[in-house]
Amino acid sequence: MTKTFTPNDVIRFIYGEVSSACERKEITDALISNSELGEFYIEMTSLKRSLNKIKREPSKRSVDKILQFSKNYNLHALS
Amino acid sequence: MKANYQSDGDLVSLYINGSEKAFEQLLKRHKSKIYTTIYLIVRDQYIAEDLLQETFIKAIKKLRSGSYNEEGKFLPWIVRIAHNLAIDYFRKEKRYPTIVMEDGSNIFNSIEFSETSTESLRIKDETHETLKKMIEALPEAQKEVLIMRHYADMSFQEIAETTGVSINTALGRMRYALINLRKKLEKNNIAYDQNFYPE
Repeated sequence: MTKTFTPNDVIRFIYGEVSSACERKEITDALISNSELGEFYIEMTSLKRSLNKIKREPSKRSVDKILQFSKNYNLHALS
Repeated sequence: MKANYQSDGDLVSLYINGSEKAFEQLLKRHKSKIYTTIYLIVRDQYIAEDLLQETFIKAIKKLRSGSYNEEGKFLPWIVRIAHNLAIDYFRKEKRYPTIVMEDGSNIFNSIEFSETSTESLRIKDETHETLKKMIEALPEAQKEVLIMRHYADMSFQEIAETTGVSINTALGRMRYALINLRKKLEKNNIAYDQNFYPE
């Protein structure tokens, strides 16, 4: 019996949340045989790449402040 | 290759037992996810920096007090702290609007932290700014799931638990968020912008 997959399944697939190898293969097959689903996959992966571009990094100053706070808090707790 | 990989749970245990190196590792691993999560809610890099520090200060105090009990799920826990702080800030700001500069930052921050203005110049890519604004304009529930899944790297299961909805609802919100973004990108005719496709 052929399993039917939905756009929600494609999203799980794109975000690496399909843990079973068997299901991954089934979804891959569905992306090839179902053009609508395949197109959705291409658009969503492209969008995902775009979203990756706006990942941000905090400044080194903030990171150093956090590390310093932790060290001081530790010393304070030990004294 | 991953023989030396330590889970968040391992690092938390080591930190509770006094290892600053373990904390450094946790911070290095998650700072970008947490910072981006906050940033996309408060829309101001300087406020986001402050709230990132506040988030970790809260986490440090909780971990050091010995009352942390999240069964190894460090990331969802700290993202929840960050998310709550950012939402609280956002609500307060709505009551007390500030003067916002052209780049979206608060005018007072610009004065106070002028030495870091090169950072704001660096991120001035127009296309990314447009996409960022589109994310900000999403309905709250969709934006929340998108930020938690894509930027905070939480699983749909963790998002469902954190937000009190079913996995299917979380997945549905994510799907609508992505579809809405795609429509907006098409409408703005920037879906095929070269900036989106690395050489």
